[in-house]
Amino acid sequence: MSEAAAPNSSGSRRRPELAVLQELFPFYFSMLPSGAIVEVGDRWAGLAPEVAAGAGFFVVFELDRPSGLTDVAKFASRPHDIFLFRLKSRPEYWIRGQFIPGGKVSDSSALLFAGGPWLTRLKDLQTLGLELRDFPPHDTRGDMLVVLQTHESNAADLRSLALRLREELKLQKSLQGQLRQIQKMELVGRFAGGMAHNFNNILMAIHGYAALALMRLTPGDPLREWIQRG
Amino acid sequence: VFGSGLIGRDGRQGRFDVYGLINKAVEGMVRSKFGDAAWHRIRDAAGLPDEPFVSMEQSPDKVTYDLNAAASAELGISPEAVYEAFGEYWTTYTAEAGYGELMRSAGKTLPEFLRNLDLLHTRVKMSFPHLVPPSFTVTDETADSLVLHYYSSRQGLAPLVVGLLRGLGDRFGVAVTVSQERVDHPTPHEVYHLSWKPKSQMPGS
Repeated sequence: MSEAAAPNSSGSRRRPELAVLQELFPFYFSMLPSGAIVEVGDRWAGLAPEVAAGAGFFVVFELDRPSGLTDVAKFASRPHDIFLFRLKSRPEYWIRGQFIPGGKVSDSSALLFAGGPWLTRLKDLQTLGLELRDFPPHDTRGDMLVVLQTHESNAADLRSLALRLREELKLQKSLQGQLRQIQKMELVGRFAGGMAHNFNNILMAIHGYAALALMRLTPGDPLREWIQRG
Repeated sequence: VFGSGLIGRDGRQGRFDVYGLINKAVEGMVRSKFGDAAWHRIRDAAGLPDEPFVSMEQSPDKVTYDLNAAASAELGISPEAVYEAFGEYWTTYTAEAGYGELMRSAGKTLPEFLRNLDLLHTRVKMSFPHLVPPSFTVTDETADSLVLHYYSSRQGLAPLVVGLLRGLGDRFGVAVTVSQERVDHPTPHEVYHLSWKPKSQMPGS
């Protein structure tokens, strides 16, 4: 019998079972009701090496939700809850997943954590030293990051369109102001032109009658000087 | 690299749409390499309004064809050369457009990246629902060469892939030599014979 198919006399997982678990949940870990971690997926080494066999759950993690649970033994009573907790060494990121009772072959009271880091930006991968390949193909988190990035790009497009629209509205408003000013000036010009025309008509009449008066006056008449001054 | 694949099908027979991200990249390439004035002339010649492209908005593929033709006329280079220049530009543009991490995750070396091209396109398809991505496979791999097979429902984009490969060469610090041939049997597709050398080994480097 090969080593891979050997019976599980030591209480640890058989190699094929472990390989499948690693492949499906590379960020898995199992722990005892005491909170002692007894087995971890291979991706933890890159993300948070302190998450290793022998570490305590509440030593390396801080539970966020469900709130109020301080005893790992009670995690088993919440098999349908989403667990959110933070690495104490990297509190800006969540770990998301579920705890499944019976998480270790030799101890049915152990809990298996199936989940992993919860990211919302592609660039967080690099910050955490991860790559999309760290998430197995069945795990949609990698694709969700791409979807979120696309939405972020869309939001950037919309911001850019809104900015351009604002600038064009501002320009339009300024042009409308200029147009109103031009129209106002044109109106004033037209009014002044009309006034000048009317005034000119009156002047023409005054000049005409003055010329006629001059023709009627004798050369020595004192009124000639007054008329000529006008 | 998904530049050659950001082309969707709208359900009507033989009609494809292009996602705005592609036309944005064409605009970016022209503006960065030839200046804003050249872009305005190309846009006017293609009969497009002075409006920004929106990444997720689809437009008929005629828009991209018209842009290619106008760019070819304006820049005095062949339409194939425009596609090639675009392909080369695309690898840097995707990083600017926020997909740098996606590119980074696809591989640390040129051959690794090319082996992951199909997966990359599958991931992108999740975000671009009408995307009809091309398919890539790698065969005949050696330490410094491989054969890349490119299957696409679109015609005429083969030069774009040549540009993409050159751009990827720059990304991974290698000088790429590419030759291309069309294979009609059993499935029609483009075949690229690729070899590369580290740029540090190139004369004059």
